[in-house]
Amino acid sequence: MPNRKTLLALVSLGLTLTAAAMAQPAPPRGMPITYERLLEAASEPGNWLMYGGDYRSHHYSSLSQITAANVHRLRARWIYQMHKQKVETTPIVVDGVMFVTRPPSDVIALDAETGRALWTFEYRLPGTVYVCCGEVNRGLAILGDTLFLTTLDAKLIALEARSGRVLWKQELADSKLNYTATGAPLIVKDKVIVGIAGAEGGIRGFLDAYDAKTGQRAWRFWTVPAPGEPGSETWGGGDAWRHGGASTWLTGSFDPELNLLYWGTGNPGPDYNGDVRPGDNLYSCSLLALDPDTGTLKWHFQFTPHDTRDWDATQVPVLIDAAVDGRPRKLVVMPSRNGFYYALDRVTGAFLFAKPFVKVTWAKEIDKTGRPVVNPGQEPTPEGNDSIFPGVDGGHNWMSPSYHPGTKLLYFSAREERRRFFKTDAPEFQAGEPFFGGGGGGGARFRPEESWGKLIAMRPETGEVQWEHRILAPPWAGVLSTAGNLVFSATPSGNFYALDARTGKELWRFNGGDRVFASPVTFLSRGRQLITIPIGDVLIAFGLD
Amino acid sequence: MRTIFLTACLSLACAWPATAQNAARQPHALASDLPETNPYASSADIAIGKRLFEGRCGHCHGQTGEGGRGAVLNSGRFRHGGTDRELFMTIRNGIANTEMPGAFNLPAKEVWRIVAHVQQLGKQGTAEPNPGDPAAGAAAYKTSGCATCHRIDGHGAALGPDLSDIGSRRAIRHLRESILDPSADIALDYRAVSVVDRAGTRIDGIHLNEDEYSVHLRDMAGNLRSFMKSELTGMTLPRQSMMPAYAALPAGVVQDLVAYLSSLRPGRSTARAPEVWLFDRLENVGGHKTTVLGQPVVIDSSVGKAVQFDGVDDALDIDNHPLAGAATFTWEAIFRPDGGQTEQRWFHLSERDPATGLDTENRMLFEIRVAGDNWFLDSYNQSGSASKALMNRTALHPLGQWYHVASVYDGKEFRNYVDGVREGAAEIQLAPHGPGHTTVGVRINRVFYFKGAVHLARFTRRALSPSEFLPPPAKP
Repeated sequence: MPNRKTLLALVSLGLTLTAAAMAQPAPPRGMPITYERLLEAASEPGNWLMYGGDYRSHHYSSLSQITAANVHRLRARWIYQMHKQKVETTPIVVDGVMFVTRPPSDVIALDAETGRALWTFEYRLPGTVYVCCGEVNRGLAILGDTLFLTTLDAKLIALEARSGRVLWKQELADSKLNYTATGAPLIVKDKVIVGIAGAEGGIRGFLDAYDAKTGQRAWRFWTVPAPGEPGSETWGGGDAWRHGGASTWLTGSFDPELNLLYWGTGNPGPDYNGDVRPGDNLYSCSLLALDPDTGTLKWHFQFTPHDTRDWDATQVPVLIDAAVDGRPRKLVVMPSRNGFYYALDRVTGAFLFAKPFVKVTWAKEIDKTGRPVVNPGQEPTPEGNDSIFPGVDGGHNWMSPSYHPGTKLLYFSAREERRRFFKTDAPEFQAGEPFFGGGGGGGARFRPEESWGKLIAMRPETGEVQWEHRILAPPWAGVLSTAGNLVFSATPSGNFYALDARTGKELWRFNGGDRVFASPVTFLSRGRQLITIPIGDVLIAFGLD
Repeated sequence: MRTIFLTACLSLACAWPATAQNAARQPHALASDLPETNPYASSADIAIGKRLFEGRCGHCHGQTGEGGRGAVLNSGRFRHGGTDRELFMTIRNGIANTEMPGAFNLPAKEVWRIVAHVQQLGKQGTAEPNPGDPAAGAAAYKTSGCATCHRIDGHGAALGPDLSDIGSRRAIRHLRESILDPSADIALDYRAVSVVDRAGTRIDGIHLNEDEYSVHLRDMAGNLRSFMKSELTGMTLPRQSMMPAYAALPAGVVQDLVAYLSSLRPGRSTARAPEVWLFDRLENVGGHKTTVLGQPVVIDSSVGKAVQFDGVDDALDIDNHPLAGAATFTWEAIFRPDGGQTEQRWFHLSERDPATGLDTENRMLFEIRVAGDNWFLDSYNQSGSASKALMNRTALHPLGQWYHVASVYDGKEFRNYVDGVREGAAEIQLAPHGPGHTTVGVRINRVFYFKGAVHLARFTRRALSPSEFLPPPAKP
């Protein structure tokens, strides 16, 4: 552990480097990061100011130093060692300083030029926390000069961005009751919007807003209604709602003009045994449109009613303006874990169309109202059902898609995966224990090549696939597209690659040697474009040689 | 070249839930944290455990624990321990370097309930009969060429799965399937891959690794090979196993092979599996090349096929000393003496000097003396300066019948038997022989020819009790 003197030296090094970065031709504006700057995040391509890149979650950058013509010169510039499994973080970058999270709930400020740490905030968990899927964290939010972090034990912490000093700490829920938090918060105006995780542990989901200055809770929207509330009739009338899941573990999107917050919800609980919760189980597996000032539900759309296959709708909602059938629309689109790509009118929540983008067997189609026409024999069974597609991890999942305003294409990772779904007795809720009622693992005689992956380039207003880039195994990496007409993503083999955004032609690759559970981002350091992505337990930065 | 793979199974078949946010490694359970006995073992718990088992475990272990790709669970023998606590640890943590995953995402209570059900399965006893003869299966293993690709206790090739403990890892039904239809379930670590380079050369091998741009394999000669896909004109992952199907083998032979493979378990003594020589052909005995002297003939007899020697110049010289290196042993043979000259040295194992290629004085022998219409046994063993002949002139047996004879050495005492009855014993210190060769029908130096027939020999590298001997042939 560095002593105080070393820390001071590191801090002053950081300040020096920041000063050096400030000497570049386009002077950075530094902190504070005001709400107005967040509204215009896409106009600050030298920075990466929020999880989705901007409020529309385009995960796109207008930087164009790295292009299809020169991407072959991309080289690793530095590596930051995390020494932790499953690094899922998407960094925040502000004027040459990168803020990243490290499992389980640490924050590191890095000099974006050298990859050297400026400060480290190490969060000690108070004890064992039940988590279904690894001690992960997906990133931070920033407002003013404050960073916002969720912790695995379901806390929200405000940190001073210049030092890592704790400003305030707020409990979201009791982690002893299996509540946990893994997602990056989203700033809307003066509020911090925070989701919760733990549907695999039998929580009752919610979405919260906290005052960014004080940490006081402004509102809470329960994603599983209590008896008597609208939607409660979809839970069968028993007590299942108390552990009904519908968590909110992935960051949503925001339309400032409509003043609507879009946020996906997860699976109902127990995951694989729906017998105790007859009905559609609102608002699980849904997209919610909420008033960010009050938390009032404006509309909702449920992708998978009465889910029994763990097909959360915790995918990134992407906000796109485009004409559908000749009529200009404000769209919210989402490739769903259930294997269908959906386009909705984001003003009203009206369903426009849905198309499968991977092999789908569970539903024949999505009808005109947006409801699936379900095929028989597609439920988990006691002995295991291996005929259900897509697999338990879905056709798509939480990794970021990317929308390129130049090509007008939506790029996203897709998973063609064969899995086996089985059902066991409905579990009783127990603190510290899982709450599955079954599972969705591999089959005894599945061949590896029965599962594979692809990056899809799609016309979002029609669902028409423009091109596909096939990879060996189902990916967990998100996608970044840039004005250099490039698309970046990574494979489970650890190959980080760049494609021509127009044609899908592969132009560059780098073998990082381990699985990727994250999305790339790009920014400027000393005026030069860098791209980073976590591969295995390291964060790697690439730049032109 | 024959490419034979006894397949095992699998895929990365984690039966445990992949979940909303995908799985990751979890802390292992520690034995010290667990009660010794199962706190959830009521009949209600067992019933719940049964349902948990059927969803999570049955597709590998069989729905009634009969085994398959996963180990047999209804025999009551558990390779990694059968106490409640040990079973809990196995289920919770999985087994390293096997296909058995850990049930990290299962509440402790549910793990205990599975333990309760598995204990019930174990009380059933093995449901699947295993009627084959392991000794005959061992011989069939050799004659079928299995060792061309498979390895047992360090002997054989490494192209296919090592079978040294296959009996504890695979159920009988799975072993049978692997022989008859090897493609039904191919071990992930032994999948075939075939690539074609730009020169048009096809390279077959075992798939070791692959990413989007490269593929890695162990070729048929055992070499590790790396190819960039951009440099290949073709690549296929055949769905067929590289092991040919042995569906044409007689059912009895398959049964014997299965029995032999099923007997290959850890702790089956440090000894190698018994080596069995069937005298059903002349050119090859026990998988070893022979030199045929005179005109011995293969006959059908009441005990099965045998090689018959004329007592004049018939013999086989077999290029192997089957007990080389054995510190203890049991040497059995089934033979029929038919008279002839008084002294007959009919089975001779001889050490060779590797430097000169000449026979040393170290040897083991079955001899007989013919006395009228009877014979008696002379068993001889020499190692260095220690030597001993066991001969009981009063133990006379009629000629013209089939007999079982045995020489046994337990590290202290040398004993010999006819039809399971001990005829002699002596204490002696015998050092293991080095490699060499064997003659059947004559002494190693081509004197004292044998008149009669030999059906079978079995060499076990430990001292068997008479009850473990092969059964003596029926007498008329």
